[in-house]
Amino acid sequence: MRQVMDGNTAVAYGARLSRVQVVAAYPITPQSTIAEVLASFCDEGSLNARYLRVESEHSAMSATVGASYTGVRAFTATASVGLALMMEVIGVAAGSRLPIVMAVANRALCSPWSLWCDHSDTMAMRDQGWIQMYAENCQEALDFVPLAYRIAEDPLVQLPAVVAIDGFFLSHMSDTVEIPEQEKVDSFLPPRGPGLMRMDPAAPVAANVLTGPPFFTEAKYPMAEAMERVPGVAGRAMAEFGRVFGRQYAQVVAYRCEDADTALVAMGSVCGTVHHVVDKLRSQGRKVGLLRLVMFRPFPYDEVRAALVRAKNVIVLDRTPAVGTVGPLQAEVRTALYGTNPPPEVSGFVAGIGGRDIPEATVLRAMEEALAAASAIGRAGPAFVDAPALENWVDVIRSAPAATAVAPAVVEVKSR
Amino acid sequence: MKQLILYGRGGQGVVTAAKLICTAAGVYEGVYAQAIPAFTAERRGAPVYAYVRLSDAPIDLKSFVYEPDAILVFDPELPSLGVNLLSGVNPATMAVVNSAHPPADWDLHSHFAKVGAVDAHRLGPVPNSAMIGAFCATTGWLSIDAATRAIKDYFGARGGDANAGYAKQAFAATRLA
Repeated sequence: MRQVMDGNTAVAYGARLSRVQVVAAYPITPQSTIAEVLASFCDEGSLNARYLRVESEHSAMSATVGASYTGVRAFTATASVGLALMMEVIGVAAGSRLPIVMAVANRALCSPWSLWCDHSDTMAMRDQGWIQMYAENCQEALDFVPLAYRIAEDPLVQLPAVVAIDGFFLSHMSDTVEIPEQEKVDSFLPPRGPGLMRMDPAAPVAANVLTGPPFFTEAKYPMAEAMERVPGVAGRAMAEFGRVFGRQYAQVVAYRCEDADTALVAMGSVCGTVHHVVDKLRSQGRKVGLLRLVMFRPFPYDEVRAALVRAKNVIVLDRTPAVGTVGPLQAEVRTALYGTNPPPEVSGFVAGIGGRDIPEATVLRAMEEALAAASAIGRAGPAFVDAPALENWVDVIRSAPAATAVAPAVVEVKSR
Repeated sequence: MKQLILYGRGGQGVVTAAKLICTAAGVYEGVYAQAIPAFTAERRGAPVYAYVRLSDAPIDLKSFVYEPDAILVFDPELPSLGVNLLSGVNPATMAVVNSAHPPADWDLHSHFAKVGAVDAHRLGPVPNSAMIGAFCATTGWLSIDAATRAIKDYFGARGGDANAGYAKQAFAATRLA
């Protein structure tokens, strides 16, 4: 069934179709309507879930962890400082190997206080052992929820997952969405199987207890191993998703990168705009491409390298205010390209933070600045780019190179 | 692709109107449609914006609209609050204005290829359904039938028929110039 809905409603439909059994969420802009729509579903009886009203995001994640420990499928959603308040329990969810799915309507972390979109919230939790998927449109906001459960609950994985949707640009943007049939989702996503750890009053165990140096590494190492298995599991899950629903997803999407001199790397809703710009420039004979990261964790180093290695210039757009470092996406891309010969020139920009729109002009500006820098001033340290020509909408910062060692991951890439 | 900017005030149903146009086109006319509200720290009476794109092809752009093919002005007094209704308009841009006066009397009239005026405040407690009807009449980009179906879906038993009626009345009453 085709409907017009915003990204938050799409996420709620995705959770209902996934037959989540417990929802615990605390309202925060721009996520609140996810919790509201799910509460309505529970109230009208279209979702047979226990809806837990909690007094904070810390409690929301604690309740979600507790529910997941009993073996049920648990869901929560948050944003920004709500995610920051959860942070202590974020690690508990991953360390306890609980396949929770959480939607995040990306919103800037303070300060200054902001209600609006950037990725600083999910970037703050990026190394806590959660899988991360970034949607580009409302259809993906829906589809990624059952997909995330399928990957997270796989016996080879058993890790929690975030479905990230850009605050307002997706959470409140209305778009046409195909709502999958429940029977198809049921066949794609069967009931949750036995997990690694299960709380049962009949057989009491202690979990997440004080763990000394002799055993801490022994708990963390399997998490890293499980995360390395995610690309294979996700590749199979996405292939089956394509067979069942007719929409083929991939962990990395390379669009017209094959013969591109200049490739732009980005995540989230802005990829739609970049896609549009790439088509425009291609029609003018310029060899440009887009590399879109759907999964940021685990980071698909090999596929990023394979897609970008032929480009002369790589431009990375971070929707995160990097302070004292380069943007996290840029750092990962540089890591992926380390050791290639000849290496592409990598330029990184911060744009679209705190809700600032990224219109076509900003994308074009980033490309022009990067190409000018590559030929004129080289790769010298961080520099602010003033943007008077772009009126008040644009704020682009060029930042400095950094590179360290590479951890491999295997993914199957499919073109857009 | 047609791009719209809706200008109004908090409480006038601007964001809902954008969603309804989007739903009417996306569900009942089978085209691709997108509505993006520009959220600020809204409060009742303060300027509110929303953007709509309608297209025969999938819509990749996820940014705001800067060069509208049509604007919907829910309150012609908005320029007194510093809102620039002429931002990004070109000689082909059309305008739909909530006004009891003939379209040619609107002081910005000459900047637009076509202006439709309707007294939306007389058609319903909130002007959005009437403005959608006037949008259909002015631009011809959306059928009044699709619009009223989307309006009935949205308002349901609580005002569906009444609001569809306001849209139809506005469709018939819109004065063009």
